Amino acid sequence: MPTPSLRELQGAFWRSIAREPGAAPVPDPLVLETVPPTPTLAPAERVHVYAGMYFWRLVDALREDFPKLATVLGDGGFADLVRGYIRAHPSTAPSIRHLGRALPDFLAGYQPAYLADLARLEWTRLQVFDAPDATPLTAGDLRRIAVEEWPGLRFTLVPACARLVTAWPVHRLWADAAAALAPARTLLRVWREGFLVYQTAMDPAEEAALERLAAGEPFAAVCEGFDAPAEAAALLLRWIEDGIIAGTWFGGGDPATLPRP
Amino acid sequence: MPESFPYLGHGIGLRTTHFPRVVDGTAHADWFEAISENFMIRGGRPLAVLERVRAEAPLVLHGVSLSIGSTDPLNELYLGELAALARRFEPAWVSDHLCWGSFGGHYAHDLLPLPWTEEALTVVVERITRVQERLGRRILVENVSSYVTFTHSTMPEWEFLAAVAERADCGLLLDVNNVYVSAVNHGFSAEAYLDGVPPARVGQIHLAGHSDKGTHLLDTHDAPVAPAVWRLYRHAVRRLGRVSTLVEWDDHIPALEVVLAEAERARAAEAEVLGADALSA
Repeated sequence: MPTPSLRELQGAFWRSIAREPGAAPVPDPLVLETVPPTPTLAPAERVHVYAGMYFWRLVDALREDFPKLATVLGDGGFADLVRGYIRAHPSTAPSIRHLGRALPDFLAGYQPAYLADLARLEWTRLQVFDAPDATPLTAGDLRRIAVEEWPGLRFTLVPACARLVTAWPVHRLWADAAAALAPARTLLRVWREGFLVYQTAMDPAEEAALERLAAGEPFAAVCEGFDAPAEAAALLLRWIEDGIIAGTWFGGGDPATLPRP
Repeated sequence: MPESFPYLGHGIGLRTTHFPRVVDGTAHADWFEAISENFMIRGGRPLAVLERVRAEAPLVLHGVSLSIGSTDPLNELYLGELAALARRFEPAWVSDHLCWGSFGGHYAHDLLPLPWTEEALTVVVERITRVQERLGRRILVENVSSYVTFTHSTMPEWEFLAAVAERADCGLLLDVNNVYVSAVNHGFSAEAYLDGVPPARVGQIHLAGHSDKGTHLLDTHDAPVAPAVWRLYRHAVRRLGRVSTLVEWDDHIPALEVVLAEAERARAAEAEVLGADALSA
């Protein structure tokens, strides 16, 4: 038997452990030829130790990243999902945090139909958790700006804040993982405060206002759609309390280049 | 060589569960080892905690995805991120594992076994050389637990490890628990392994727990260090002298005090061995 090259050996070994995740398929013939038995294990059993570790490590990593999805599916259901997912989307990055990137799309067509949205929300939470840091604007900072200046005032959001539109109200599963959901267009805000990730559903007025604010429109425009400016101001204060406002700037410039007050 | 890897004492692995203790300033260890990949992110709590750790104690960056024994091209993006992390946190050293973990652009997120052949040695040495050039520093390479051997290996593992260190001019992270697990799984002498490692190259020792599966031992890092491994640690200290020692506990992680107690136990064992040697000299 000719000695396999390192590349041949690694290809055969990789196929043996990754070809059928979660199963114990017969290893590649080249591997069986080069791995001897021990007094307690046949060659295939020795290779299966690696096949098992490969699969269960990835299950654990995805369970950590998608805990609500794992709860909803249960252990067996989640393992089944990961089996199919890993086979279709083996990891292509050295850091395991990227493993679940394609999972929300993979869940399209799964039942129950809200699973894809649930995965999207959990993936968004992950991105927010690791987002770049920023010092949020405080209410005190805002009070230093004269009231007459407010209509022209523009704001920037912290990086650790995301908005998400889902077809199902999947945020309700945090209060009750067994909740029966009905399809409903849902506007979600996900943000990081300190070291924790929060989420809330927004009503259309908040969504529209935050959209305008994030687009760099002046506060006067953000107030449109509200009966009274005080409503918009109350919203702004809530956003500031949540720590999602990074800074202010005035029109005529690029928010990225203007100094913060 | 030893001056590249200073003696840091007895440290523990930095784990997320213990972050609150780091933040409130009650996590006291000689030094900490952080998993490099966990900090290759753009912001947030983990980086803030690492800053806090670094301000108070020496830090070492330990990677799991360098895939030094792979036949895929070296991942330049990964190397760039590792280099940036090292520039920012100024670790005492950077380490990874003597194994492969990727093939055809896919990552196993596991430490896969190498055959002990001249070809594998050439591949590993060439890649370590390039990594050290890229990082501008020597790295430590760790021996892993393994569950297979290959009939076409032409030398024992410790001979391969020693040759890697000499030819690549790198350091060694001697994982005493991994030596024990592999020795039991493959039927070789753990003491012979330790005696075959070049002392001048060993910059760090790992200690950890493992699981006995009946047919084999599994490197689970989820238990106290086993008595046989403590005996092996003493053997290592007798041969190598003082070496920075780190206790790893990655799963079923107990309270910080329990992990710190393991580090203290290692300190006591080291002192006992070296004290006894000094007395008998």
